[in-house]
Amino acid sequence: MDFKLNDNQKMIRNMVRDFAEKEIEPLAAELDEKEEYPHEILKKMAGLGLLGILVPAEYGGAGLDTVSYAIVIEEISKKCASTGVITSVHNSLVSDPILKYGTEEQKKKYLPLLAKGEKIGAFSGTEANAGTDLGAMETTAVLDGDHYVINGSKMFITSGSEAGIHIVFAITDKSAGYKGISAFIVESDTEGFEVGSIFDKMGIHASLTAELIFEDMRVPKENLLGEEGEGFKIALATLDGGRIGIAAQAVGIAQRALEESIEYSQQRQQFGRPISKFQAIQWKIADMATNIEASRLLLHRAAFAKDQGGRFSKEAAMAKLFASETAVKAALEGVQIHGGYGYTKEYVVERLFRDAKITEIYEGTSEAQRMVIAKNVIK
Amino acid sequence: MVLIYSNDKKLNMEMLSKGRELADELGKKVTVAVIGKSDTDPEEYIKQGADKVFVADTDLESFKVEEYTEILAGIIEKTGVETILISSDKDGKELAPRLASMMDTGCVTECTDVYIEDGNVTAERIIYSGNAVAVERFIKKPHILTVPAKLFDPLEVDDSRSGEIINEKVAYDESPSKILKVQQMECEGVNVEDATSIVSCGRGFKNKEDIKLAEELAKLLPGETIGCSRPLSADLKWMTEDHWIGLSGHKVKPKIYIAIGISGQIQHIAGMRDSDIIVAINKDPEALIFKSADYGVVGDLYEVLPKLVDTIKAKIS
Amino acid sequence: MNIIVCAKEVVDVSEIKIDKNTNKPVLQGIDKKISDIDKNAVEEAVRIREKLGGKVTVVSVGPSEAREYIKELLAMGADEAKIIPYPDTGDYNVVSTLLAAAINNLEGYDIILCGEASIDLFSGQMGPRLAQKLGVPQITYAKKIDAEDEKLTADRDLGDKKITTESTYPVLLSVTKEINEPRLPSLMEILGAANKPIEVVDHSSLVGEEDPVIEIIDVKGVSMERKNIIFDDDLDEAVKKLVDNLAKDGALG
Repeated sequence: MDFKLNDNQKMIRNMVRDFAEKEIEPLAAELDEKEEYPHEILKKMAGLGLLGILVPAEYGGAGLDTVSYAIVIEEISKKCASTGVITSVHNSLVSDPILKYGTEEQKKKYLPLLAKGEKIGAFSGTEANAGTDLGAMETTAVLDGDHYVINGSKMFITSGSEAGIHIVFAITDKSAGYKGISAFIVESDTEGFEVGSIFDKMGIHASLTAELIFEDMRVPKENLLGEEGEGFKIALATLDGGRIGIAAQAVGIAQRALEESIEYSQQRQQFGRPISKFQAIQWKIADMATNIEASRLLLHRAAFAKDQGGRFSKEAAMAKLFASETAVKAALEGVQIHGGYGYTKEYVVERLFRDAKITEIYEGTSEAQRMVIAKNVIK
Repeated sequence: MVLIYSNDKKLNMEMLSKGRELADELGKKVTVAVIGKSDTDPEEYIKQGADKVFVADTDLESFKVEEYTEILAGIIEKTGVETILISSDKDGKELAPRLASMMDTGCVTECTDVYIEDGNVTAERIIYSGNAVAVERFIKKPHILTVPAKLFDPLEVDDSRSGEIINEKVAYDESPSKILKVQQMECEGVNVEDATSIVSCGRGFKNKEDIKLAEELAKLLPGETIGCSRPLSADLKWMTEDHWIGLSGHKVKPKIYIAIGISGQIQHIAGMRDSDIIVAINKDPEALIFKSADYGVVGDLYEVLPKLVDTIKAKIS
Repeated sequence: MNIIVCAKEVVDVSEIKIDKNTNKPVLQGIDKKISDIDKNAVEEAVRIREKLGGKVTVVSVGPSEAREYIKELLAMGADEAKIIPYPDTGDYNVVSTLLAAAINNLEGYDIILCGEASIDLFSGQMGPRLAQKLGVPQITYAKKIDAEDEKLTADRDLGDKKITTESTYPVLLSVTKEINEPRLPSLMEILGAANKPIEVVDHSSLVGEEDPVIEIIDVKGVSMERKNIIFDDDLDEAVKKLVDNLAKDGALG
């Protein structure tokens, strides 16, 4: 057993930390306030290879391990949780399934575009009536000559309005239930692809979350990802990987809340001494630190399991469940430690508080994670 | 014997006073080295504490480190000096270590104090960006030290003093490098190091024109001195370098230092930490500068400054 | 063009705290890194190589654990590195002697780059000492370098004046922080650095036992106690309180 990061992982952490401090932190509050997508930041990240973390070098990526990936997402999310989720979706929900299920032609065509950041990726699965129950989706794809004709709409799509490449899920065979869902690679400039409304969210303001509408959208047959009817399987396996990204985002948010709280508690004086001298504050900080450490261990364990091959659904679900609940608690306590100031937009804990909550909801709610975990442990 | 060298007369005089004190304590003599052309009559050094002035004739037009190192080494050899004080200006700071290397001996740059302890020459200098002071002792002779300006006060002129003046040519080899151009930097002649109050500006200012908000405040304080952090001088060039306060810029110790829109990087703090009272104005409540401040106002400088100017005006009228 | 860069592992000075009981700086457990200005030197070296071709070699005297940080310099574009493990006693004469011996063992050199000073001790001695030991001219405080095949010119920033100096090779330059913005290595460059050679050179293979010329006999903490009174209420009220306090302290002239 070795709990140490290797030299490469440490260098990657230092590099991303430097980058996030210099290039993300100064902009994060403003992007949040104006609900602006971080285009400039993403461009710079592409130059550093951060948009092709898991993509092998032959397709223009860095070809890194998943622990390194988790480190990158944590460091970015520490400074901006919105940029964190955009990066996570792009890497693990879009590039990864193309890499795993795509044909050689699809990989050659799409992976370099994604890895170099020329196109941002989105994962278009959720619908108004199909959230945790993805099988309830209504979007359909009908084969017509060399094209599939897709009709329907999608909800809550991260980067939906900004992405150039979407993984779209649609029903190709209604009678086959889960096995009638297929996955497609869809370019956003395809005719019939429309962006509906942008959602006005509680947090992660800079990650624009959109409604998508497909109207007689003709997608070339060769853009089917995997086989017809494999969509549900692809979605579940992909979300396992995605949960590692969200767990990392949650650890980043929680870690920031901890760091801000430690610093503030040492500065803030009440009754003639820093509030960090009071046990009430110390216990909060001790609990935060312990939960974060546990989250990070679960996260790195899940990432390691993914790299070992084989199934890692349980590990990813546990990491995501524990890390997201830790992030919510840490942000809540962070605000509490900051007192009245923490309730104002002057202090970053206010944003962390709003950003943290979503980690318990997207890419599988905490309830869904518990379902996955229970299914894996009660046999 | 103690040797003093600077190409600046004023610094020579300041070091002479310390050199005199060290020499008296050790029962030795003090020599001032003059290299190249100098407007100063060597007698002036004698009258302010020197026993001897060694004037090395050269054809060199101005300071050039490789050649000056060899000349100074020659003087040291001829005079047999053991302790050498060199001014801690940019020329001195590149000369002293090269000289020390040539003599395989120790060197302490930018001393904050020099004294004899247990018969040994001992020097103090600031390290870790101002967080600590290192006390260093020489094991080998000669001892080479560089001394910043204004650390010691010059001695009174004593017309009764007499001493020896030596004129000699010292051999040196020519360096393969040459100076192509010397450009006096545009400079507003501001002396932040001697200022009693400083209003200092940082990246929080959005435009060069906005600095006048700070000038309004400075006008209400003695000296009306404006300083700045590194980015405003080195990167943006809004202010000349004589305004720059920090580790690589000027080190200041005014009675009151008002840092406006300065984040408070440690390199900046190192330049102003000796101020009596430090005030910070910054819109980021988490800015590092507040940790180094006596008083802080969290707010947008564009709102705070006009209010501050009005309030001070009302107070002092 | 054979370019040598001298780099030093230092403690992150911004994290140093003073132990109130012993009045000593606490260095244990503080993050280490490559001294900031040394990264500017590496950046400049890589830019010169990009223009004129050649090789960039990093030489560092310090603990062998510095390897971890030296790799960052390889990721930035340096081609190889030598680490000479040696305890940091603050004796620049010994360190410059080791550096000079290690550099003389290389295949030859045209340009040697150093940071103006290391951010921990900030003595600025290494460049001039090393130049003297190697018998080459020194151009200190360089904030712009124009290297050509046969010679280079550099602008030196001396505060009140700017001096343009020209030199043939070999030459040593110490650079200031303003000279450039060190690049962040990409993920691919970080991975590529793993294949670049880092050689650990035993100091005894370079020079015999060197007698120290100076010793640091004490390090005293300088605590910076400030009042830290922050007015963060309503702005009018805050400004009023500030001015009242300043008047009380007699700071308004």
